[in-house]
Amino acid sequence: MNAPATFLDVTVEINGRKTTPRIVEARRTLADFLREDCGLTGTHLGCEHGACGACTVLIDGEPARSCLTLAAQADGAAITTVEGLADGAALHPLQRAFKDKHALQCGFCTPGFLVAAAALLRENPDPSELEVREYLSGNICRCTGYQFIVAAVLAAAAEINGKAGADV
Amino acid sequence: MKPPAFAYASPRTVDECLALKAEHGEDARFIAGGQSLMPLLSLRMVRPAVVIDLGRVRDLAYWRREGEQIVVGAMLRQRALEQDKALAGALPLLAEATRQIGHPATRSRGTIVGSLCHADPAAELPVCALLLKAQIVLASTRGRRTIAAEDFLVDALSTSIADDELVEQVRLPAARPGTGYAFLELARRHGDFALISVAASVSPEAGRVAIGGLGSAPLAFDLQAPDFAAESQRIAQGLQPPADLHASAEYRRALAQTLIERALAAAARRSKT
Repeated sequence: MNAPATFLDVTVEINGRKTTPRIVEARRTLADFLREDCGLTGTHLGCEHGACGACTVLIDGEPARSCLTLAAQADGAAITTVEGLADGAALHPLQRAFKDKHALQCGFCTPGFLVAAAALLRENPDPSELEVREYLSGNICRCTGYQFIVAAVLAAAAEINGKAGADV
Repeated sequence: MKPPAFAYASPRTVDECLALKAEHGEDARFIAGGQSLMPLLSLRMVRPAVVIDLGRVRDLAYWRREGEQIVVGAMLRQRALEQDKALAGALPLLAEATRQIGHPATRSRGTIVGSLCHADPAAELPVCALLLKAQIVLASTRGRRTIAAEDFLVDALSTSIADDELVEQVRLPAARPGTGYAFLELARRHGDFALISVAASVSPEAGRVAIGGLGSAPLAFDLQAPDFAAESQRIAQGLQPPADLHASAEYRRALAQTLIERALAAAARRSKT
């Protein structure tokens, strides 16, 4: 076993692609690793202490606050960020629904909501409104009042359920 | 803010964890789910020299049944209580309480044992552990010792763990037919820490409640009579809850009385099904 180290090699799979190993400080959070070391700035930093959900990513398919995860903890894991939702130029149904239902204004919380909603629909493809509100209660929005976010998630679920083989 | 600099180790076995902790003592902190430790690090309220990641120790990520006991390893995530029906059926009180903890993204990472070790006075799982008279197994290079939850949960954010110890597992009684359990809490917002939380168990012979949100370690009381209204008043009157910006002491005391009575009634109903 290696002795404790202040700098480490971290390799992750992000949105299906393996990164090259990067040397990071042990204290580097996964959020900063994604943003600074991997250039994926879609994941946002709202509070950096786990209260707001703007930094939500999927770690091995499960929703997680990337500001409360060390990059070192995520070494070897499969990460999904907001950048992984679209299929090339084709928006994910959730992204289309957020656009159509006016579920974003400033957009700062939006990546966290999209990833959390994607996790919800993976686990529960046909949620009720109450289940959507419950699942997304860990994501804070200052602009929209949440009404249209909930509507967008329900609309996306309806669309996905009408189509077989939708991924994420 | 960003965490202060520290060295990181990712051992693969329990023995490696114990050796590291013996070497560094109070200068090393274990990280399991990180949902309590990471905010402390980001706010620089703790500055360990070494962080020991339990996440790759396969021997800690388990639960199993041993006779009448459920044994939960240190790395079992809180979400297991939502996703594993067998576990939820064996520990219905914890399953009900876990729905109140944080949010899905924190429960997917946070661990059951980690919440007990952090011992936040308003956290849900320490209340459940105290109600169920859970046993905490502490491991070090000196050996293993088992203590009752009551002796482990000393005060707010304070346990009786030694500087060289790891909580390896917690042992809880499996649900038995004829005993009902209930967990109730009131928080300002769903997922927030509780103003008051109550865990209750009722069987034909006995009743017991544990109360959290008191600003200290949770407290437990065995019922002296099957009169839930009178007992909830008796227990609540004896509490010294804190006053803070969220609620006055009087409000917490009144809230405790109401939640105790409701939790006992719910547990009693469930004991008959």
